[in-house]
Amino acid sequence: MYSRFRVKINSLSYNSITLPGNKLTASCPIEAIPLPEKITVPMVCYGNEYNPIVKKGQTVLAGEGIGASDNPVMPPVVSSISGEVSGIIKYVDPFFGSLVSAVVITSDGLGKTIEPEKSPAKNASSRTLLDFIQKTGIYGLGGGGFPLYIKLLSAMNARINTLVINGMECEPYLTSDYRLMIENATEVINGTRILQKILSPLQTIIAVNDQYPDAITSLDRARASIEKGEDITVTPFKSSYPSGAEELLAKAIAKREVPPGKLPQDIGVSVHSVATVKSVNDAIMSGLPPLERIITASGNLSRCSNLKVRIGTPVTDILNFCGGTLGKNNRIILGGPMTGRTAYNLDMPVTPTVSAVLALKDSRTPESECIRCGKCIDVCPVGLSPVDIYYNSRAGKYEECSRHGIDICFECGNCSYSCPSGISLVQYIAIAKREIKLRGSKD
Amino acid sequence: MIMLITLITLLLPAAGGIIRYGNNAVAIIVVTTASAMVAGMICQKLRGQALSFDASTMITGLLLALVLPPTLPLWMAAIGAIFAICIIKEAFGGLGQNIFNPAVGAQAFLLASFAGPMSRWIEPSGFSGELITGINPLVGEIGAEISRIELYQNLLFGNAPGFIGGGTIFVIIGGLVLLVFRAVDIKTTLSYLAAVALTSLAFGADPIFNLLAGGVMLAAFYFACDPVTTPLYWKGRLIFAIGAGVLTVLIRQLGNAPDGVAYAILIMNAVTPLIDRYVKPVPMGMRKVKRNEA
Repeated sequence: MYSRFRVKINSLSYNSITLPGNKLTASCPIEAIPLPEKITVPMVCYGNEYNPIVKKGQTVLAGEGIGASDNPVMPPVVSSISGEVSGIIKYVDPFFGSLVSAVVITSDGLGKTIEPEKSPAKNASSRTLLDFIQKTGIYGLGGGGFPLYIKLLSAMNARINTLVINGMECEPYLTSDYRLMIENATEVINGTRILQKILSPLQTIIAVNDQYPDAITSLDRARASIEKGEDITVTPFKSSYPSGAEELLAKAIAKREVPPGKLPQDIGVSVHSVATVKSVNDAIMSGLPPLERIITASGNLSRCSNLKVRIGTPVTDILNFCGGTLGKNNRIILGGPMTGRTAYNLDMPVTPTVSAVLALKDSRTPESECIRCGKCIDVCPVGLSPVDIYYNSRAGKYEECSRHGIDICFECGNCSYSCPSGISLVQYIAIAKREIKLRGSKD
Repeated sequence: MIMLITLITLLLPAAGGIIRYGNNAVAIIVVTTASAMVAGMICQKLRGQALSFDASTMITGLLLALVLPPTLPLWMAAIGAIFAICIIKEAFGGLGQNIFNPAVGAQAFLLASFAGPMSRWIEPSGFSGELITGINPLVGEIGAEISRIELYQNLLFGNAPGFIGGGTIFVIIGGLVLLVFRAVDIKTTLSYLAAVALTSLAFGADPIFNLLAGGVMLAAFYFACDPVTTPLYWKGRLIFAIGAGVLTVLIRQLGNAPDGVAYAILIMNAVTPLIDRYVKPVPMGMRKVKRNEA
């Protein structure tokens, strides 16, 4: 059971729910897993389809571009290990929702990297830093996986006044950001500093889940130890779901709502996850594109932990490292329990936006008829009527879905979670969104 | 889950009915529930669906029994239950698609078809089987021999002639269980009851009497909180509840029907699609900015 409440921000408020935390891995230090023998890299980063630029049999280094976009601004997709391209396969990307190419690379076990990019000097200008971010191809590690360069550039053009670093991690089970804030607080602060230099905001807020007092202390300590640390504030925010969504965080901070079709930066707020700023810091230190990410491996596993894995590592490797699943009837979820996708086989790779690999009991009940109770409306944080979108999506009336504001939905999953008839409303919303996108591209 | 809780809470007023009217109540409850279930299964078969247990059909059968008088011929009760399921519910598309509350609709159908038997009230006599004609306090003048307090007690504990589910205390206890499990929204229940009480006051009628008599409590916890036939958005549900409360008293004071609950609920059921169309949440970023705030 969950309870529903409204988060109040001055005269504004939004619906949210409290979920059981299940942060089983909060006390598990981040551990690196061995280099994978094989990685699969789907040619679909940043919500755009890419074309493979390598051939079978070609040797690649870690950090080398293996896929490029038609759009020259988009950074290349890179290999996270060194080895040989063993094939280019077709892969159904559960986040992108269609069939794409994927490059499979067999490791040579050496992990040799490309020549590092020259790191910008300490007093580098914002332009130099931005160029560096473009060259290294850093992307957001939150939910969108959008190239940081483009996000920063448009935030600069929008003249944002508030930089928000998102340490909310409001989904159950996930603890990777929490461990990062505890173990790598200095790196997070340094990364924040770099974004500050680029965007020169009036205020910088690190928004941390109020259930994470240790993280708040450790970030505060790291902040106090650097020069002019007082212009960064570490602020606890109420833990509820989905309070970590960037639109809602922006709303809570700017005291304004993001208009439909706009981004938080349009109301003067630029939101980046703590994992992203840490990877900015790491890239500056190493001069290399991001090759790894931290994930939470939790749920019904023999050993739950926070793991540092190479991008493209197959789920099998992670499950093996954790000693396999416990009990029967588990579903493997890529990402958090609310927004993740079920893995349809165990060769599926960890992509940049996958924040966790969870083994959870399959507790789904068959969908029964909608009884029009309106619970989904009561829990929707962006004030939509998911039931209306559901009916229209089911009937194939996708234009009607647009009329009901489907674009505003960021698929937090509250409606599916609360539905007494067990209807996966988000699934119907996602189908409608995809159909609308496909039809739009045909015209 | 919610359906099962609702079903279980309905067993309380049903038990109350059995205590009050003995075998007559048992017979009607069994007949309506069984015919509703059978009608539901036949409809499932006709629509080519797999046979399955539908708790909402059982709820409809039970609820219908609760709003019937204890002496109603059993075949009429059966017709009511079949009408509720086959016409009001399944003909409109089945669970989730019906516009009118099936139990209330069937009650109205029976009132229109069999006015006489539907208004024969007897004194509660338990299992003794005596059929002493009584006066439903909603219909007749309240005799001078009993005080107001006694009248309230009679209504609350079901000592006055009335529906099978007329023991208001049983309905209230069941309703409180629903509130605890959050199966019903307290805002809806309270606004319905408040609307009944305030409209009664406006007409110079006795608000406590109006709250305790007839189907008001059943409506407050069941009919006005039926997820299917009430508006989707909570603001819409408030409008529904207030409208139903005002109409209940209006019909009681000015209309012909002694217990206005059924018609009030049906009228509000009919306007529910309209409420749904105009009372909606405001999507994020679409809220009108007040001039003085901007």
